[in-house]
Amino acid sequence: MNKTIVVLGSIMALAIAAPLLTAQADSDDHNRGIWRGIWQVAKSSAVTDPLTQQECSECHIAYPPRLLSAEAWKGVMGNLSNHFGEDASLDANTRQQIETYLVGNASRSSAPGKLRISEQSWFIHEHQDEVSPRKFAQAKTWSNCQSCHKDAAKGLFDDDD
Amino acid sequence: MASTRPVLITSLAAILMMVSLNTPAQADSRADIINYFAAQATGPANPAKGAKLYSQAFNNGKPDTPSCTTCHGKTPKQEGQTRTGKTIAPMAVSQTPDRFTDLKKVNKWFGRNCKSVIGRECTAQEKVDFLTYLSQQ
Repeated sequence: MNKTIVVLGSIMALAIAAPLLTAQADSDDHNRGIWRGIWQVAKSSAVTDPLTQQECSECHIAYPPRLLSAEAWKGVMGNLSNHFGEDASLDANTRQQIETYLVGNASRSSAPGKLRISEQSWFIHEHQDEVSPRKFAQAKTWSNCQSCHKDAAKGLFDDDD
Repeated sequence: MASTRPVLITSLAAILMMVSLNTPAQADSRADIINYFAAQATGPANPAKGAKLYSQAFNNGKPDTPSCTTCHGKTPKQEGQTRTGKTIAPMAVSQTPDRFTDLKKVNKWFGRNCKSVIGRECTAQEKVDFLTYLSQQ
């Protein structure tokens, strides 16, 4: 029995870690090692649902579900025909599946009625003294996480990433 | 050994599923997609009207997106940028050869962007004009 758990566990760990480790090897700017790759898998908040990843990353990075509350995600997903000024409509089935994933993995509480991640108090707190006008001018908008957080698409938002 | 076999088979199946999720969607033929809209259009394809549709500014759509070129390149051969800073590959088929080869994707983006930019659905005629123009670019 122990043997089966070990075999299954190893295969699952490899299946989860392999794509990230390979991606790491491809863009090995900083000569990051395999241990850093494993550490990143452990702390990453990246979207793990393939449908959400695919559909929500066409205009911006797929924002991690934990950045908004369940209520806020319901608000966002309930108004895709006016998604912060653009029509981002999905077919009903796709929309429902994505909402279920986002709501099921939401964690932080959100300010009532505020649907933008950049309107949340923790976001404002962490960015207001950090981002110079020059850096913001480069990014153009708070939704452009990857302008400063180079690994944002992998769910990594450390200050030095 | 016998007890590990079902586990191994299940694991292999799981890995196969993960691999299949990474394979690209089945490609449609661009000609078939254009013909699909042409069959519903009122007249022959007019690429000059497609060019106008691409560059024209409209008043009835969402205020942040008055024209296609708000996000797409000033010309179809240029890259564009979403309002959130993501690069959009050029719309011209000569620059982005896999453009308009997935009917579901084409329908999704016409559905969204015609409403964002023009404020209504595009007609089949507009879609044929637009696709024909960009296929020639």
